Amino acid sequence: MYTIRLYVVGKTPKSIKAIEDLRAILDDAIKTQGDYFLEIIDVLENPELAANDKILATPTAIKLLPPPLAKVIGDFSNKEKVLLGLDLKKIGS
Amino acid sequence: MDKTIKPQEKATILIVNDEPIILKLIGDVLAKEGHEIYTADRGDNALKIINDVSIDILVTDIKMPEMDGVQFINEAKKIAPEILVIVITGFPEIDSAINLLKINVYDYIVKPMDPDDVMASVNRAWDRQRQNYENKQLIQDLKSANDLLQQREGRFRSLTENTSDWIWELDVNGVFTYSNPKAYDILGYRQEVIIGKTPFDFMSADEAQRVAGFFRETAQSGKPFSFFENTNVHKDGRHIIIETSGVPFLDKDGNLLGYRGVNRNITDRKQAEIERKQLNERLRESRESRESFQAIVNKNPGGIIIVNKKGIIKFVNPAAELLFRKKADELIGSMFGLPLANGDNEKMELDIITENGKTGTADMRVLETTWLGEPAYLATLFDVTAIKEAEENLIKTNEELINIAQMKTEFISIASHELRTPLTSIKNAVDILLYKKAGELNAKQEQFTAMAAHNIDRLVILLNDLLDTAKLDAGKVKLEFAELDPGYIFQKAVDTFKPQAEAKSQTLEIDYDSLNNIPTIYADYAKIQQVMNNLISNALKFTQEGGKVILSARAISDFGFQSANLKQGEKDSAIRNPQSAIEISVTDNGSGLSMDDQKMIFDKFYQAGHTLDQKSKGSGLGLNISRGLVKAHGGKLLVESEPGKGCRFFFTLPGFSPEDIEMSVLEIEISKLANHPPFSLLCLNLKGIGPLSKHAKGLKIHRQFLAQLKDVAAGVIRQDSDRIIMQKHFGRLIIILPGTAKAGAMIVRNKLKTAFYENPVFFDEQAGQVFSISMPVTFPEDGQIVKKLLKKLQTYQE
Repeated sequence: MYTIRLYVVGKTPKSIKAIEDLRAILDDAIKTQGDYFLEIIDVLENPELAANDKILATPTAIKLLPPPLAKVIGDFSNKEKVLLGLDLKKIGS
Repeated sequence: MDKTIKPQEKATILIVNDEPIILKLIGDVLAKEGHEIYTADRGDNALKIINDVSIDILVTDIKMPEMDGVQFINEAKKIAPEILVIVITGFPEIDSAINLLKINVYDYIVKPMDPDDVMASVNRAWDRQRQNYENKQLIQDLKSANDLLQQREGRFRSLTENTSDWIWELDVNGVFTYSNPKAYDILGYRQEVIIGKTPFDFMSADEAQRVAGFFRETAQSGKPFSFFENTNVHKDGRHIIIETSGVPFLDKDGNLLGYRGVNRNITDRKQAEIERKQLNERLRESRESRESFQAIVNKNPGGIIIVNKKGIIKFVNPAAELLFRKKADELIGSMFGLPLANGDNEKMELDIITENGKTGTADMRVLETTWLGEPAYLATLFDVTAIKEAEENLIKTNEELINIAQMKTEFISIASHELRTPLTSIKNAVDILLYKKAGELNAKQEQFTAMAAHNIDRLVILLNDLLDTAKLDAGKVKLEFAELDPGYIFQKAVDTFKPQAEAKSQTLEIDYDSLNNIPTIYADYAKIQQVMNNLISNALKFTQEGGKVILSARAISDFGFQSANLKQGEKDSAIRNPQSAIEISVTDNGSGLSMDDQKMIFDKFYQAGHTLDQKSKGSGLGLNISRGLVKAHGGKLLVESEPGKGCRFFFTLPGFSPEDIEMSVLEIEISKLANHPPFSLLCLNLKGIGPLSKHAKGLKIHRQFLAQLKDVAAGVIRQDSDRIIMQKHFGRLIIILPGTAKAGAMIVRNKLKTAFYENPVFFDEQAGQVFSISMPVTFPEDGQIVKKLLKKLQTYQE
């Protein structure tokens, strides 16, 4: 089971775009192979978790499982870059 | 043990005997002579002494207990080969003693011995021993002298032949008289070649001249010189830099014979020096550029973060520290994440998170780069928190301002309406009085009633102006486009204003010639008439008695219009640039306007400073309204004036074709539906009715007719009548059916046919017009673009 955690701030258009972009990529790349779990964390509601994961800015996505940990930050509209950054390249291709 | 050097006068003597009396006797005799005496009673003890002390002469008995005399002597000689041995022997052992003497023993004394014999033998032995020592010393001195000599000679040879330096000798003429073999290594010429040549033979002409000059001076002074640099040419052509030092050598009378010295090849050193200098220069440059780069990075207001391929932070600048409120050592090594932007130089807005939650907003740009040879990403983060906040505040303020403006407009609109109703009643009452329908008035009463009526009229005008302004401000002016005949408008205006002009003996004229060759213009007749009335009324008011006001029009080609405000909220309508335009002028020869007045005259409530009479005062809104109305048409209202000579107010109207206007309105409406397919279009062909009238009466009839059509159609379609778009004019009525596919549209078409048959609509009080209704055109199947749909619609007409 792939576990990805996405940090955003508030329910702003920026956050919604990040969620939609990431979900589209994961649907496309992982769902055919099996299930994934996308956990969306609002930093405003869960500041401790964000501090634990050393979040410096949002949107940030972290691949928690399977190891190793991988992190991407910024714009998630480019599928190839996101998969590369999350170390999911093999699945995507 | 080194016994070669024995400088003392007296001998050191060891006496060995097992009889103490004899030891004492001999010891005393020898001690008297001043010799140093050691004694031993046994051979082994004696050997110990020989080992420890440098003994010159050994006096020993041949017969000893414990150890054989011969053996003892042999042992003693092994320890001290130089020792001279005197043996004391009894008569019976004489033969063996003689044998001993031949080998190891210097002398022997036969018992019973005489002390004088012993003394004489020892003295003889001591003389001999001393001679031995001296000889040995001489040999040694000679040997060491010889060694020293050899050493010195070798040193010189190795100095001259194995040294890395070229050693030379020059005579007074500068000719080489000696050269060591090193010259070959340095210049590639053998000693034999060099001797007989001058140093200048191995230099370029320029260098030879320079060096010859130096040598001439030096030789004249006769002084030594050192470290003189000169460039020689190697046999293979290379330039060799040589450092020359030399000392003069003189004959007995002190005349200079020549110079001797060394040439050292410093080419490599020089080269190394140059290279070191260059290296230093490069190091300095690189240090400086690194320092300036660091300064740029450190002082950059944008946060700079460099991460490796895994998103681990490798570098941050102070601005980044400030942004994240963390020190560089906390940030470096932690995982920032792989920064992603949509492309190079595309910015991505990030929310900055610190321990206090969200603390700001930053624009991130990402570049691929390298860091210490590894591929890396450089993210620059520009803090836009303040800008974002300002932006949000601005939007909020703007919204508030818009709300206030809307409230004001609505207030004016409502107030004007509410005021107009009672004012109408007042006017009616005053009119009844004034026209004496309520009885006769005396002169005074009539005068006051007339004043009241006049001021009521002014109030009505003011209220109407306020209402117009409010509508323009709210963008609620709807234009009814129709073909515009300037001549007709001019004539209407002249009819209206003739009495007013005549009252001041003013001429109000139409320039009929200017009306030839002007393009057809479509505009809202009533609105343009209002603008004309405003301009003419102003012109008459501000022109002296007997003045002249002329109305004219002309075609222009240089427009630069804004798009017409065909519909509220659709300022960027699809109307293309007009192909032609007209300019309408109202010109007077009155007092004109100052520059200041020209600038401000279109502002709300502005009154020109030199109103001729107080009565002419209006609302101060007229020109502002006129300008707004012209602008709504896509034109401009301007003024030009020369004070004292009059002014010309003129406005432009774009020459949009009816098709342009119809198309743009349709395009706006249809494009709104494009996101919600399907929809269909129907076209009612009105050609039987005839063209749209130019006249006001015609327009009114047309409007009434369209309203009837819409009512009938709405009844059939049974949809919110706002969603039925009836694009009128020019013989066509287009009905847009949102959300209706072709089959549905066909049903509507049939129903419409029946409805129009059952409910005749009236046009100019004539009933029963014949219609034709086109087959429906449906989006998207019949076309994707509006033009194509409309074209198809035309071909579908029955």
